[in-house]
Amino acid sequence: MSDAETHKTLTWPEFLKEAKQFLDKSHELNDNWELVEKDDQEPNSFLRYSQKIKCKVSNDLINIEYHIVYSVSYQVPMLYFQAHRSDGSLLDVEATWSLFMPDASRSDLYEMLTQMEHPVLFRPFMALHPCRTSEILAQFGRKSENILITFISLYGPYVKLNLSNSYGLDCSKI
Amino acid sequence: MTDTEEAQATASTSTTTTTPTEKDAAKICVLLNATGNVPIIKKRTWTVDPNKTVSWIQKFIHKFLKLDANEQIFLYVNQTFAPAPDQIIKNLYECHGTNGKLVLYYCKNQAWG
Repeated sequence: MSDAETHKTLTWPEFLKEAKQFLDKSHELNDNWELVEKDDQEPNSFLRYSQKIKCKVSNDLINIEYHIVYSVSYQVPMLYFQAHRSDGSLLDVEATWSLFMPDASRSDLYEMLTQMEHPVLFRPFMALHPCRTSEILAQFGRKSENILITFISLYGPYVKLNLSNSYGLDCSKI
Repeated sequence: MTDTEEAQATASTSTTTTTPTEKDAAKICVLLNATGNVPIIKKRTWTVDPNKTVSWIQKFIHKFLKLDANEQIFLYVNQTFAPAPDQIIKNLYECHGTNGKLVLYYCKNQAWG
């Protein structure tokens, strides 16, 4: 198999185009995604979404901000997020992990979650590892109608970011 | 007296015969298609309890194909959208069902590492 069949990567203009398409879809469905544009340099625009969830263990209300940022090195979208409690304190890697996946093992943690610098904001953010993303995106048989919907719906559920079913409805209309 | 007994008997038999069909009717027909490098499943159409979740189907396929623990099954609809694992099949069918069937595609990969 050729590289194009086993890996699906995106160029920066493609990412931007798909992000805008995704944003239109979100507006259409009255969802709260926003596009943050720092300037028009690569990769200084990203999608932002925030939600509040209740921690089952401590009963705290946790506010999470999710960013979908373009990774220049991997040429795929990457999911960054930051979670904080209602008193403003940030959750560290361990606390984030126990919030999302209390049952999974420690070795899984280090395979998928890292704290790293946000490529646009230069602040520490939690990120999901991007090294398999291009392979997974390539598995989707026919060409995806919007690769960002595919990406977010695949990786989001790991961090409680669940897209509504309506995102899967006919994307060609947007 | 005998009439009522007969009536009851027929009623009871009819209920026993209708319950399974009603159950089947309540179930949702799911068509599973393989994509990418995943092995195919010979039986493509399955009937699934509407209250089962997406992750239940993922676990089912994982077990059925006897995959390694580090391999994951991804399910998606419309070539584009992967439904959330806690989504129930009934909702998914209402949103994405066509011709009385819910068409699901599946592929496998290692998600991390």
